[in-house]
Amino acid sequence: MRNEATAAAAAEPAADVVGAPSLDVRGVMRYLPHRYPMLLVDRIEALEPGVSAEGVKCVTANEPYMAGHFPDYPIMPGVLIVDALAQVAGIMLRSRAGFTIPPTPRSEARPGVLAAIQRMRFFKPVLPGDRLHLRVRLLKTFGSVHQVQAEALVDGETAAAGELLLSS
Amino acid sequence: MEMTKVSSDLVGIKDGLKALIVERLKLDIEPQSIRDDAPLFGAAEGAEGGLTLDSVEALEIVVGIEEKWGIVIQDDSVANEFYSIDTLSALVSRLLETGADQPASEAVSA
Repeated sequence: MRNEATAAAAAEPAADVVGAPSLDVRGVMRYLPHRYPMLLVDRIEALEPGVSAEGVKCVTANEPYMAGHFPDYPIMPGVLIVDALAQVAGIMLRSRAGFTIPPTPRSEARPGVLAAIQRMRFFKPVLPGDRLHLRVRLLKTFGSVHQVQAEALVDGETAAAGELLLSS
Repeated sequence: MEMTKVSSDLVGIKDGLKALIVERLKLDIEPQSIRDDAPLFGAAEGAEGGLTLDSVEALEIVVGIEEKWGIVIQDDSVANEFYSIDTLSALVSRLLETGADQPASEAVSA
């Protein structure tokens, strides 16, 4: 019985993370098709599938976009903060569907592709060294569209906040 | 007497819906140009006067209706009730009366 359990865990590494309250980056990559340089979530610290999720992105001076954004003043592009939030939202939605990588190639980005940025405000720049705390909560699902409240914080202060629509 | 009250409410709801749709979706049309029985969504065939709205716009309308009338629209009313001003106004009217959403099937099945 012990052997069976071990064998099952080895064959099905995703099983132990489905519904778990947290995911390391390998767990994140089981839910998201994103890879370097567009994997913008390092860790999930809280996950209630289909309801809410909290993730972390540690921002460094080595991010590829810092070379040009900007050469003398590296800050994380706002649109990438939005995408980081959308990625956490994608994990929140995909975990509800019990849906891990790899499904069929065409569906890899779903559910969770951005359909609209309804509202987004940026309150302070996100800099190398910042630990970006990404919070999302599902507000409404209608048909194939999910409305998500999203907030990115650094040291407890809001860096960006708004509402996104994701499609499935 | 009850009938009169409901039908006059319905006219108000229809006008409110048209205004909401045009304003919320920033459509460049007159609210009154939306026909009560024309399909609102998709590129339905023979959809004369239809708006061909998409799923994102449908959610915008849902949120707008919920804010405007203080009701909750559940995800299961998609297909039948989200068709035209006629069907949408019937949904809003029913939700205002019951104070809560009920599956679309209940209204349709009979």
